[in-house]
Amino acid sequence: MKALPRAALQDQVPAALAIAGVGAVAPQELLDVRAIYRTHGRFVWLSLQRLGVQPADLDDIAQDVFVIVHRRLGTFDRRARLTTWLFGICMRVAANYRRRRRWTREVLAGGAEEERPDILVRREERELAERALGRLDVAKRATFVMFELEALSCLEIAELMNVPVGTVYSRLHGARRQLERTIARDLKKRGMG
Amino acid sequence: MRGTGDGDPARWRADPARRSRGAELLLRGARRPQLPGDGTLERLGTLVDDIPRLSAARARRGARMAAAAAAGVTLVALATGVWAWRGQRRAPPAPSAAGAAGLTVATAPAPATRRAIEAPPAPDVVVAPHAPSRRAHAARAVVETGPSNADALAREIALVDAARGDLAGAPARALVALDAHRREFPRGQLAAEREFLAVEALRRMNRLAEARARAAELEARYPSSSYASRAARLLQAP
Repeated sequence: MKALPRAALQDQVPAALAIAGVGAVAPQELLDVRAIYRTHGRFVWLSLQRLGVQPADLDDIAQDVFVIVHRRLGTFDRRARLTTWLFGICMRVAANYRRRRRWTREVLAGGAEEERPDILVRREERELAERALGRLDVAKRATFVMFELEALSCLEIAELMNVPVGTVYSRLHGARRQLERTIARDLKKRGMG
Repeated sequence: MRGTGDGDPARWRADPARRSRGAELLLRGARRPQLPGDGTLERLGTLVDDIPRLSAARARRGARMAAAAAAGVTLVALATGVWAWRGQRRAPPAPSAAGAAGLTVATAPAPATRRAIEAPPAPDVVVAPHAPSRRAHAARAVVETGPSNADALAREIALVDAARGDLAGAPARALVALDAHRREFPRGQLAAEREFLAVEALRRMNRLAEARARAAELEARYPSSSYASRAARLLQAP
């Protein structure tokens, strides 16, 4: 079965923004972290979420990213895409963040106040989904999120992550399999399997 | 938009008949990345606006430390006669290292340089531990009070020459001196030469991606400089 045409998915995705600012950037602009923030701040913000940075930590982690951007601006190869370079930085920062933080229950614990049953079910699903995603490595996670939740094409993902498209396919395949397995196991543990 | 992803697998969302319960749950439960609100974007923007200033302050601290290290390098260079070589190149042949050092003093080096030159030219490990703080003060003076051009140039020359002396044998050490120069004199009179030497140092350390990036930057900033074309040739060589 073929993927849905892009247009059908467009409303779900800030796709244009997801890969915003891929056009040429003037050299002077590149030398300034503030200019990069203005053109690519949203992109970094989205990318960190793709890589598993939790909403509560986004502010701090995004700031870390831009400190590194400022410091490493001199090493940016102008022939490369700025988004690819930025995504690489996001990936390293997110991987460190995850190592530091290790997926813990604190995010998931949330308040257990009384709520309507449908909301409880929804929360449970969110918990299971986020927990399963949290077990993926950052590259697989981002691949899955961009493909399944944001409807980017594998080529676009490959370009962002600076890998061959075959690698995207295999990461996606691995991510799906691992996610389904984790969720099946968790459902079983909760007696919902 | 690049690529339609024709070879892509079907998305779960587009394939309801075949997706598993886990897939269903993931599609419902997983959080899709959200764009930041305007307030968030603006707040973070003000923090980002501060990064260059904060990092310049940190770089100044770093420069003082690197300058201290570079001072050590300069002392070693002195002992090994680099200054003598420089003296020979710049001035009528000097009979000895001490004579060459004298000539260099005449070109008005920074106080710390003068101090270093007055130190015995023989290898002297005792001097090194003391020199850094003096050189550090000199560096701070350069950054904070805006010294005369001659003093600044003398310091530029000292850093770049120290780097050149180390390039073949100790490219990492050369890079320390070049980085100190880059921080203190981002657009100094020897900036193009410094960048060229950095490309060469990185190449020798096999950090080719960085070498190429640096060469590209050199080309962008000093397109007419012969250093830019030399750097490009350097990287083409097998």
